[in-house]
Amino acid sequence: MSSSTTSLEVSNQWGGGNEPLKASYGKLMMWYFLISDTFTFVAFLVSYASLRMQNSDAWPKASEVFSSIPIHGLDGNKDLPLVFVSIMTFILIISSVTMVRAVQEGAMMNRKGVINNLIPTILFGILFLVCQYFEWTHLIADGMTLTTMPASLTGENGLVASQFGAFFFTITGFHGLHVFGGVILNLYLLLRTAKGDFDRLGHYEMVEKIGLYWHFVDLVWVYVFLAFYLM
Amino acid sequence: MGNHHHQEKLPNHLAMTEAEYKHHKSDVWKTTIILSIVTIVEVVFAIYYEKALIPAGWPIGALRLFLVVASLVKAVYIMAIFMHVKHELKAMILTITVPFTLLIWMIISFISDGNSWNNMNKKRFGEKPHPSVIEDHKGVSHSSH
Repeated sequence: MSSSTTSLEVSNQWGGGNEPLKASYGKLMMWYFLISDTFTFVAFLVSYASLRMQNSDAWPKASEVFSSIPIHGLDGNKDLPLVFVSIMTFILIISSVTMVRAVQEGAMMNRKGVINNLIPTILFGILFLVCQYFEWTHLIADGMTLTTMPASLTGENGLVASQFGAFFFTITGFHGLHVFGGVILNLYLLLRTAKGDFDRLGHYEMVEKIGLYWHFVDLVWVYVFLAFYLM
Repeated sequence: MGNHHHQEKLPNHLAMTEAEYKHHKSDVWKTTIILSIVTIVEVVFAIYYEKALIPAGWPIGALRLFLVVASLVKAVYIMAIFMHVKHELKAMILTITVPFTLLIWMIISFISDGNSWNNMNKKRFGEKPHPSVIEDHKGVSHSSH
């Protein structure tokens, strides 16, 4: 230990020695990133809420926008509001569960357990993106774009807020981009786990760090779900 | 202090005892069940409220309050259990959560700003929505009167 580090004497105040927060540099930086990303997402969602407040009557009802299963051939029944998005929500919850199980198996240095939980995490992540693809293409086929709304959603006064599409596509798109990034990170994690890198290193902290990111994506979905599908 | 020869294994900071592992694992299953139940209740209640209670004159605000609280419950469980925040040092928990308090003011200020615009628009244009914000589905702007 060099004298320059000990002269800071932070350990008296924090009690964690070289790791005052008992978290590694990488984990701390992941948290800082997630906190800043939270602000980005809240800014998006709050701007949507603020604009909706300005014209409370002109916004389409979620149960009408998302009234059917958005897959060609299955979209005949228009009285299944929120069914498809509920399935999407469960897909994300389950992928979060398998992710946290992978972190726990990593903590126990159980390589096989990590692999067995990472694979479903990745598959559920991909499944979520596929669902989002169906949802988007169905809405676009109906006539929803960044600036226009489908004729079927026009309200009582003949008006509908065309900004709904802009908010919906940008915010769910930004979230989908995070899911896509998470799938890539998890694939990288799976590869390194399978190679035995973390056994050689002596710990599976990388699983924990990427796990934090993956749970954050699930956490953001709670609020995207609230803002666009429930409110 | 610690050895830093690269061929030597680093300590496993995440190491748990078998009992801790079992405890954390059962926490995860409990959280899964709670998240699932809250989500189902949210969806069913939101649809029921809109179909049955809104026509009966119940305020939309009550539904929204319920949904916000239910989502907060889900967020707390995801952070505490899945993101392991419950088991961090107190200083670490504060580092993570204190910045979020700034969001409270952000949400209050922007939503009340939107509300104030709504009131101004109603004063100026009557009960009709503001023309600059609203367009019909063909993308043609409506005139103010």
